[in-house]
Amino acid sequence: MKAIQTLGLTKRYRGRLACDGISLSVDQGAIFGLLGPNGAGKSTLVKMLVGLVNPSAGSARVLGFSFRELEPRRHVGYLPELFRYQPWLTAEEVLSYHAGLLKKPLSDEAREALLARVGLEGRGRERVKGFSKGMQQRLGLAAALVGDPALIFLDEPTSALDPIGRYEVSRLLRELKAEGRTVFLNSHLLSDVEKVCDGVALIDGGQVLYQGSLDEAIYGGVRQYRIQIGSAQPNALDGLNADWPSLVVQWGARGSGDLHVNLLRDQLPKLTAALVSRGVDVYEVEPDHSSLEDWFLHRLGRKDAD
Amino acid sequence: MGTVLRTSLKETLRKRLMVAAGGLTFLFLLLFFLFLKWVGKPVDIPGSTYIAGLSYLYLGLFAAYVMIALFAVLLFVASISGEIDDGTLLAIVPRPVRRSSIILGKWIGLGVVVIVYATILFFGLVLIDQAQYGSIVGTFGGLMAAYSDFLLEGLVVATATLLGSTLTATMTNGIVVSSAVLIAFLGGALEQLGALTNPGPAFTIIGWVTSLLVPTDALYRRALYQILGNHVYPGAVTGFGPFGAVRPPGEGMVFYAMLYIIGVLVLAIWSFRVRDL
Repeated sequence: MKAIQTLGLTKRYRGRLACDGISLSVDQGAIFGLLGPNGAGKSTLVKMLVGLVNPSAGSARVLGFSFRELEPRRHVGYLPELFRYQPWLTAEEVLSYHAGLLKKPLSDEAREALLARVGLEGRGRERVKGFSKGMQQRLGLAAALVGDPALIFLDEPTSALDPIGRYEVSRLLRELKAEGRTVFLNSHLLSDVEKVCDGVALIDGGQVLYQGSLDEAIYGGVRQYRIQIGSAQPNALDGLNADWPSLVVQWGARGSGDLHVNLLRDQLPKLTAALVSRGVDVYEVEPDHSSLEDWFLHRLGRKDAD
Repeated sequence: MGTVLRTSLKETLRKRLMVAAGGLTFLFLLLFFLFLKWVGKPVDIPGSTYIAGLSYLYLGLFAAYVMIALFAVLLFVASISGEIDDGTLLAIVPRPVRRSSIILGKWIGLGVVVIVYATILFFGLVLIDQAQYGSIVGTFGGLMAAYSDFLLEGLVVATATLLGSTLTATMTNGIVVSSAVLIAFLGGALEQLGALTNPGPAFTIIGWVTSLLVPTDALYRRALYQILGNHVYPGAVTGFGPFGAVRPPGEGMVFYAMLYIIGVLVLAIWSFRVRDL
């Protein structure tokens, strides 16, 4: 059973298509990243799946149930992009309110543990109105985790967090995955997605442009790599261009240099083996640029191919 | 629904709305008491004390009519639209709770506050008036009928405002419902004027139409009639002109108001259910 399975999910606002027949599936226990530029339809898709927006057409199953039923919502947590919680309640009361809506008990210990998990230990008795935006986002994460959900939708979960907070959320996401939960992550922060996601979908103009594993997205095509080498005999690199025509050498100080080459990831071992067999010391191999960002921009046609 | 209801009640307490409303109501009642105290009793002409008591109670009840309507509008005006605007509903609706339960929870939770407010205001005025001028409100049954009319008035305004809150922006909703209550009052005043002067059908029709649109004024005049009607003291309400209850609505208006509340509540549930958030 898939955690999420959508079929032709469509939302039309006064003639404008926000989501145009979106079909995608998310495996249970995965961290799934939904990517796309502003106005691509990401939030609309999430809102349809959690019951905030009524779809114009199509269907979806969430945890095996029709998304129109209340039942899947008993096992789903959601952090909205526009997160706001009742300012006149304390953080503890917000969590109890959500537990009440779920009709699930929430002990004092469980409540305190949830707050500690998102970095709000000792702040439970403070009113939300005194919380910073980042603290409210942390509280929203805790609220999304009330009721031990099997599936958690997080819409831009680090938008208000500082670097420490972003790091903590990345760690939390990995913990949730280790606990067997499914996380549906909608984020503009590609570096966050790259760190934690197993699979991604890219949507633009309300349509799915790509769905698959993150590795396939990033490493599935030809990319540019930089290979740092030590000093070598003058003719050590002769003939390599026959197999790798794009290979370019930049010699630096003290005889060391960088090789720049465009190739499939699978060809990297063969190239490094060839270099070593020619007596060249290989110190470092790395992609030339931030991988997911390049892929994202290329797929959306916002950047020329290297 | 229970969780939403309890939280709505808690909200009114936490925002000190009850304290503010209670304090201002106490102040209003205190001023009414002092007003009656300083005005004093009229010279000893037969029936004059009775008429003075009725007149001042009428003034107080007119203020209560306006205050209850205003209170209900202000309490309900942002009940849904405000939470949509600030985003708090976005975390609530995805929970396993029907949207109808959210509407009903809000309606009952805040409706109880309106009822408490209307009760304190109504009986506060009647008791202060009676303390000064003696018993002047006819039968106990009439008093309770008037009280129920005031409660219905509050609930009619509250429910209409709740519907507006599911349909439109907070400010627009407040202006529309307040204006509708005012129009209903003017329509009712025209109807009474018609009954007093020229019994032409136009004024009556205007009164009927406005009463059907928003039955607040009809309920108010019916309440007035229960307490101050000609059957209590002959000619009592005629003296109030277009502000009186020369032609009081019958019991049918009470049933209509009940149906109105139910119908508008169903509309609010439907409107919220189909609304994208």
